[in-house]
Amino acid sequence: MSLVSENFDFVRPTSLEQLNELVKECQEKNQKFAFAAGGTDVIPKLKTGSFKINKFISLNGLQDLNNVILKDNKIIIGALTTLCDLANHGLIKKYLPALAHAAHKVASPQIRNRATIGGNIMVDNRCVYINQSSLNRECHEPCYKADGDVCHIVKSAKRGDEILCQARFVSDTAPLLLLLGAKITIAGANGSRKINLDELYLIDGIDSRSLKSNEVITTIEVEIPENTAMHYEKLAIRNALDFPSLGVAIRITGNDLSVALTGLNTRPGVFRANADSYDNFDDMVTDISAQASDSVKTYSQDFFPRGYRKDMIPVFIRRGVDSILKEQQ
Amino acid sequence: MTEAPDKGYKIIGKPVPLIGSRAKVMGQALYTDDIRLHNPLTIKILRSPHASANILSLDTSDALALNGVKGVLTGADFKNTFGVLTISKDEPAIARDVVRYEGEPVAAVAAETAEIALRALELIKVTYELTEGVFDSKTALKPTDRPLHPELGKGNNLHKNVVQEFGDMDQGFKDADVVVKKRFRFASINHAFTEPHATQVEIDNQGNITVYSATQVPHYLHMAMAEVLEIPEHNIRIVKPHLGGGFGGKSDPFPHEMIAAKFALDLGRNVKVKFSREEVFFSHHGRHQTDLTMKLGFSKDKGITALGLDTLIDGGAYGSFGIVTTYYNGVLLQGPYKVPNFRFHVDRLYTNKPMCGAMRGHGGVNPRFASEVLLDMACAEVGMDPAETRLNMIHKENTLTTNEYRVTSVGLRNGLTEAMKRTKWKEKHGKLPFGKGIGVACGFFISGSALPIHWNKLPASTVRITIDYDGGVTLFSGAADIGQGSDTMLAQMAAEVLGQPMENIKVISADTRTTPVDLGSYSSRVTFMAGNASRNAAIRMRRILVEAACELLEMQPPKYEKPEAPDDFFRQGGRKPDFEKGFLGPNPDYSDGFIIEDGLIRSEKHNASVTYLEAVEKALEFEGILQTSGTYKAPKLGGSFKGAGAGLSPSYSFTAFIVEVTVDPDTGFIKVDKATCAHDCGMPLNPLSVNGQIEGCIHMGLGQALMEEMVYENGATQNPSFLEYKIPSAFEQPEVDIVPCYSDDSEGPFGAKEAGEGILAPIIPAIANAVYDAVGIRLTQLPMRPDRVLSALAKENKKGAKS
Amino acid sequence: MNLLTLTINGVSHTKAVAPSMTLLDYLRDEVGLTGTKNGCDSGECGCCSVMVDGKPMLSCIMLAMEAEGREITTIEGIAKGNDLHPVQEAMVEKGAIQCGYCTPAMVINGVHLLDNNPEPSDEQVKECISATVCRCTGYNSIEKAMHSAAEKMRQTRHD
Repeated sequence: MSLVSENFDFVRPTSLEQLNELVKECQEKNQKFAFAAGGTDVIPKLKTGSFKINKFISLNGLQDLNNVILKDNKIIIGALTTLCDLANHGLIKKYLPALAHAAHKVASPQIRNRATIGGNIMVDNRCVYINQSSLNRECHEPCYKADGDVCHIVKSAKRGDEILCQARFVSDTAPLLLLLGAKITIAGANGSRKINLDELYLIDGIDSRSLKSNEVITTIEVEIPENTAMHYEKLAIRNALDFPSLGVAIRITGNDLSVALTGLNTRPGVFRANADSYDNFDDMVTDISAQASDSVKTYSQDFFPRGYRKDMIPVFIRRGVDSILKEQQ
Repeated sequence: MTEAPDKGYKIIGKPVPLIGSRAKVMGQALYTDDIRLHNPLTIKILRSPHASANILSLDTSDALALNGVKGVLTGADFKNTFGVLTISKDEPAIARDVVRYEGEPVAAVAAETAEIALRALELIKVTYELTEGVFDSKTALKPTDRPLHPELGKGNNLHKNVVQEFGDMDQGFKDADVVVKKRFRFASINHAFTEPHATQVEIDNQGNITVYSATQVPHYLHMAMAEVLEIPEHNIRIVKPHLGGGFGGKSDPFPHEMIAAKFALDLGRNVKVKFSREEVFFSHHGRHQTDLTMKLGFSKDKGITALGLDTLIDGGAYGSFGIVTTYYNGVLLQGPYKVPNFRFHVDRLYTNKPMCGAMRGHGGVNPRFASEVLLDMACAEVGMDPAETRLNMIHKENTLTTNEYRVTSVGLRNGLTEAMKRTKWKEKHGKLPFGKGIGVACGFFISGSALPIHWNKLPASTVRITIDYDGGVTLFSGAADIGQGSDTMLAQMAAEVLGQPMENIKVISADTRTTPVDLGSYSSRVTFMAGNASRNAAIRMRRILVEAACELLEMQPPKYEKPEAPDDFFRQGGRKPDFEKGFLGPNPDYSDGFIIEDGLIRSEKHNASVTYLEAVEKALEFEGILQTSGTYKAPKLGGSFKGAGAGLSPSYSFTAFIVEVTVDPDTGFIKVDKATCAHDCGMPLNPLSVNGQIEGCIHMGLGQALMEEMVYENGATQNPSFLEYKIPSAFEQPEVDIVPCYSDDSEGPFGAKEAGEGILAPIIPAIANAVYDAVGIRLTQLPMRPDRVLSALAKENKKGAKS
Repeated sequence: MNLLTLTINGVSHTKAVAPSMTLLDYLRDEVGLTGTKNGCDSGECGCCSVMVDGKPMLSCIMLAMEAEGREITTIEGIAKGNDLHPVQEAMVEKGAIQCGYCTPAMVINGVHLLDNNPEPSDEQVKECISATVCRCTGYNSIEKAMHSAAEKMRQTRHD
């Protein structure tokens, strides 16, 4: 696992205009390229040889994207803000403490010093059959995500299926941002556009993001929620380094409850419940847990067996809710 | 914190920072891959993507033609296979015709740069014919006309079968008040040392090679390499630089070492090779996957009345240390308690997986889990306190076990008593609220294997000491400091005996050209054996200095009492000790009426002294060189039955753990809150090191207990990375309390015994027993993953019953 | 090949490197600073930690090109001549070093913690070393060393 035999150019544009030019050039020359900020997702993938590029486009030259600002009741987070800076930022700690907590739960201190929030919401879906060296992939026969012709998780999967690849979604920060109704600004060749974060995530594990190949996320915008408490609960066998085997984000606004899940399927699941439809709060929690459990399929692609991860959904929802209620007391 | 009893020593028993710590903390310590040889070629190894296949064709011509490629090796280039044990040399340096595990080397390239070498690998064309593999022990037992090793002439994949029986099993179980039996399963686990395997070879213009390699046993590598390369050993020099952890995983000779040496000889160039982390997992050599059924008979009055086990261990593709592992899965149950009736049956199987071998606690860890859990069950059934029961069953000093191990020093009873006191065992066990538990377990381990792997009459350890004209002491030992601190231990011996500060002892170790043979760092042998050798060399040197001092002081030199002829209990290898040749006896006393300190050699009686340097100069007057050697060879031990040699050791260590846990009944997570350890390592020579070994064993045991597991799918390693092979982090490590626990071993150097391996085994069943105390379930499969806890809880349906 | 100038431990080095070269390979193979270790080459063991603009990062998953214009501090840049940093001193004294392969990374992470947090909690110390694999010590003695170094640094500040 090494980059010594990789042959790519390195460029670090200093403006979006330059970036667009570079991308255009690559496209014209039919060159493959990858964007990277922290590079903590892209570089290990390059090292396994699971994808090859001609150009490594560093986003670290772009200006003014590594800050957090408060504007008209909105928190605007530059996509290049590192997870460490995000977790420690005064505004985030004050207005979105659960997000600070979730950012803090990502990987390791060294990685959080380098990895960015933009990178974390873009972090590629993972599977034990793809995040391996070429030798290992060869051993199993390359899967769809490795440009092969098989899915080792769902053997019956075939091209044309709605979900061809079951590589799972593993971002720790996205579930909370989804519950916050975050909007992301995307810059591309034709200027910028703004979409809801949930529009970013697609159903298949291979092309799991709706960004065009020439687009980058520049900012993430969140309206400061009123009368709201949130929490992120992560299942991992260790308290360091691991991707979530299951991650549960909880939002309680007034008496309404919403839940977002990560670590299970190809995209995060979001579930909402309105207090008016229930006799009591407890019923609502039970019901949303059942909804969440019923709607997800788990697969054996993690340290924990599939059944266990499914069983933990209601437990972790309850746990998240309890910890919010406890804090509110 | 370990503390040593005060016996008036100046350096022994004191916390001495390890030699080399300063270099390590500044980044100056050179590990194998840090060495910069002149213009080396880089070696990369092509590995099989198949676990079981025939190699139909192998075309290296395109690779050889690539500019910058200097050589390609394939299986055809190596005639001799090798293995660490003389009785199972079954591993080729590069697979020839057949591949037996995923990741097995099938070719190797040496090129001017790593980049070229990697590109060349892609140009090697191999045609494989896939064959049906065998991936588990049960299947491996079945008859087949295609065994992995047809050369053994067996109709199946059995590598080694051992059955030993002592006493009368039927009677033993009849005598029991309770008989408990369970099946236990253990995942294979990896050493996960942080430094990946690496080797560099330097060649001189006469065809001699110096092999710098991350190895625990330079001597065995030396022998194996000479055999594989078919050159005399004197053409090969093995040097072990700083080494980044071994734990048994660097104690075999390895294919890449053979490949590197061969390239250097063939091409006349310096070469280097280093593994990726994935390659480390592919070559594995870790703890065997084990399927074990054990039955234990227990009597309220007599303790254990019978113990029987049937075990399958999955050895993977080659032999490695496996035959020893097979024995150790049985024999190491002969302590820490008396087992009057004992039978074990262990089969080691060949499968199409990376080979398993020696790993910390070698072979003893998994059966220890079973026996300590069963003992806990038996105590629960008859209503006896499991800690007190154990306390009463621990071997007495100077006993012979049922299989004729000579047990000398035993210091565990005090240690366990103290651990019970400190943990408030009596107030807690069986009395904590649901989810909180406390458990106990004990262990036992060898202090070095008494018998060598290569049968000969040479000492197991030899240490040479020289003193220069300026008084500087240099100590030469073949023992490999693999991070455990053996260099420091050897220096402590010499410093204490010679009355020198630690700074005045320079250690040169693990270099087959300059240091005397030592069998290496495995089986927890170095402190006991090399330590004794160092002490003996130092005593001989002391006599020379004291005699020189006497000459200067015009005094009669001290008369050294001849050591008492060892009685039958300590008989020395059937050979009459030669006192004339300076035989020092099993526990030499070096008191000679002189005190050496602060640069003076002073007669206690006559209040006269010379300086140390004057004595050195006087001693040098005639010979011009001051040099002594000391050796260690285990006494003749053991019974005369077949396999009696397995597990024989000049002494044994004893360990007890009391562990406190919190079990979350909703998630099944086990949190180990505190581990209290009593480890009888005789005299703790260096409390800092003993502490480090205890805490490190807790970490490694915790990993095997809770999360570590090699995952295979049809022979393919599914988790060959530190992300997917889960090692506990600092967050998971419990609070550790180490209670005083000593003995004075009659043969150990300054009374010391091993402290590196025996500690590991009992922490695991102590956790399991604490989980039982917390939530009432018996876990019989490792790792004790949260999902397994929940399944067991659901099965027992005991949730909430205990409140 | 690109000509790349990096400032490492205050010294500027210019080397012709492939754009795909990692910072780790630059340090070890181009500059010869072998104190920074390569334990996994995938960002999972922490042994390659170096400080980039004062923050610990994993040099095995960072391109050397990305370090341009930034201050790199490796283990070789921590001691002042023969004077060890209190973290280094404490690691030696507390027996927090066995094989030593993770030691440079532990020091880098510890120095960063204590330079920014004079009185770290147990949790913060654990956090600081949580993603650097030490297989020998079980971490207890490393934690002890960090707390002891913190104490010493506080005393020095008061003096």
